[in-house]
Amino acid sequence: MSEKRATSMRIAAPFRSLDELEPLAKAGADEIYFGYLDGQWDKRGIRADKNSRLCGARENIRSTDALARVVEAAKKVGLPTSLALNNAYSGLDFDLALEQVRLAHQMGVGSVIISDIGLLAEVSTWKQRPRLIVSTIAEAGNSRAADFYRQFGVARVILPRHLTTGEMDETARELDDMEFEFIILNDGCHYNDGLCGFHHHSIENPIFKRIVTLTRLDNLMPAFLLPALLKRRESVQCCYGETGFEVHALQDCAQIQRIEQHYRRFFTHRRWVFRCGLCALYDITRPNIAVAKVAGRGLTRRKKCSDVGMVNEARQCLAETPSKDAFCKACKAIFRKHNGFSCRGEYCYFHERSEFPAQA
Amino acid sequence: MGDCQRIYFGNECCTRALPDPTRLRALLALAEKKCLGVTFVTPVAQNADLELILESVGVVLEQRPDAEIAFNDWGVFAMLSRHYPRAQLVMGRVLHRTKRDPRYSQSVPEEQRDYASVVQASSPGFITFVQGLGVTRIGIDHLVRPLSLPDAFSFSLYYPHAFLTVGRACAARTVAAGAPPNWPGGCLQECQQYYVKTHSAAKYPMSFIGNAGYFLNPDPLPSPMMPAVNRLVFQPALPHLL
Repeated sequence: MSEKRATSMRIAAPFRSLDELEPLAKAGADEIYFGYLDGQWDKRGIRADKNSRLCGARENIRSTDALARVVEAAKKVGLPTSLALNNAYSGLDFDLALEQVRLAHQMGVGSVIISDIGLLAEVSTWKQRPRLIVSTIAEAGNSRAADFYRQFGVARVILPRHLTTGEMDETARELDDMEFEFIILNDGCHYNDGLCGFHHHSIENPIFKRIVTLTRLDNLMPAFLLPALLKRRESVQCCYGETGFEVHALQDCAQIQRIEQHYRRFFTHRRWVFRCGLCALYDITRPNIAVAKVAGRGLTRRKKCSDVGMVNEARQCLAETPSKDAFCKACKAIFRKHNGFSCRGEYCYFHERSEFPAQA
Repeated sequence: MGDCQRIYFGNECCTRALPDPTRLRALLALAEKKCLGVTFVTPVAQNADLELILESVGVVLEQRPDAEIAFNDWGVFAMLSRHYPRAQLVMGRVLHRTKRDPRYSQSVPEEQRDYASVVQASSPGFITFVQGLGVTRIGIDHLVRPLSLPDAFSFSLYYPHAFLTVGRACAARTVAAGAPPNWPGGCLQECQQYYVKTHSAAKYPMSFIGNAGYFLNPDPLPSPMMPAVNRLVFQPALPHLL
């Protein structure tokens, strides 16, 4: 089993600019995905969401020329490409989203990753179109939901990050003629991507942008920065970094103080962002869960390559380690090598693999 | 009940917070006695939740075939439309994607206000597809910014508690256990014991209860009311409470 999985699992890597292409390919990426936001969106004043990117428009490819160069270069190195359209589109920008899909298809982008149900439905009726991939933000959180998306002729469904490996396995078993992708690294918010109404605003302040983007800590943002970010008008608006809050007891609750302390950790913990599911590769045995996605389009090149390298090494390890324990031990070594600190089970994407429940 | 014509019950975020069959029957009997319409709200679901949702909807439709069923998950929609093809399915507010954060609504720059007011339900692709499914009603929240709604649907406006977010893992459970975020632990109904109110949007306090987050919008309802809104869903308490 292990050997077969190791050779068949593909790695989807986040991508932003041309200088990342070769390093990512060398690190082990099998395909790349990226966002695109050109001046058309800016002209209409549509700057609010930046294609669901925390750090704003800069995380996307910004011009048609750049997109053309990326597609051509990716073809040369043999990496399939996917364009992510992760917003919910309204009557004001739906036409732009359609135009973007058309453009991507004309330029030779292989697939589009879509989360908006209206856009999926519309594009699915086109005779000439790229392959359709259902975004993790479309929340195919159960087999029926994944099956629901079949009507659009989709090539793949990216499973929501909150599913357990057991649930992914169950969905893939029930729908064995569909291909699935799962997220293996980064962006581990507690809340469901596709159903969350928080606005992850762009970090427009240059100092914070620099902190967030230029350091290797960009996926391990120190908790002490979060309240400062939250206070700024142009900053992250979500549930991170809440420092002012109170716990209200609805019943006679003797443990209110302890709960309050725990909530303080909950709101500021860096595990919200950095998450790792390397060990779970062992448990993903269905051949139709075919792609492991490294999240984080906005991360630095070095971080992206390191992350892809981590998954690639774990994938290779899978072929050589017959037991689960041996594989997890190897993954911990890979984790330490790439991150410079030890895995203690606290960053687990998939908590059925974490030691926590036994300790609770 | 004054001008109330319908009651909403169920839960949009958590299967474990759905009323059990005994309680469901009691609620249905109350609605019958008061001559009220019924909307049963179903939650976001994982595979393990689907059966319970189907059973609960069965209990409701058995007693009230005219009941509306609000779905907040496309998988639940697919399941219900297959099992109960004649049921009146309406789209819950959780599934209608929009930026709800009151801090965002308060800080939308002038040049983006039009964009921020237009909702997903106004896109031509959404209208064609969702109408094609036979869905004619959609739930929306009383947000801090004005909304521009299409005529293509009827809207139910929830007031004064607006939905903010939902997680698969229960934050209340996670916190009580001192577990890492996202730990899909069990349920000891911590949501009935406490909730957390945050201060970062002072006028619109955000509350986290169970696996969900809401904010209270005390602002008066739009006047005149948006033409597409023909139902007000009054929620005086945090929705998660049993």
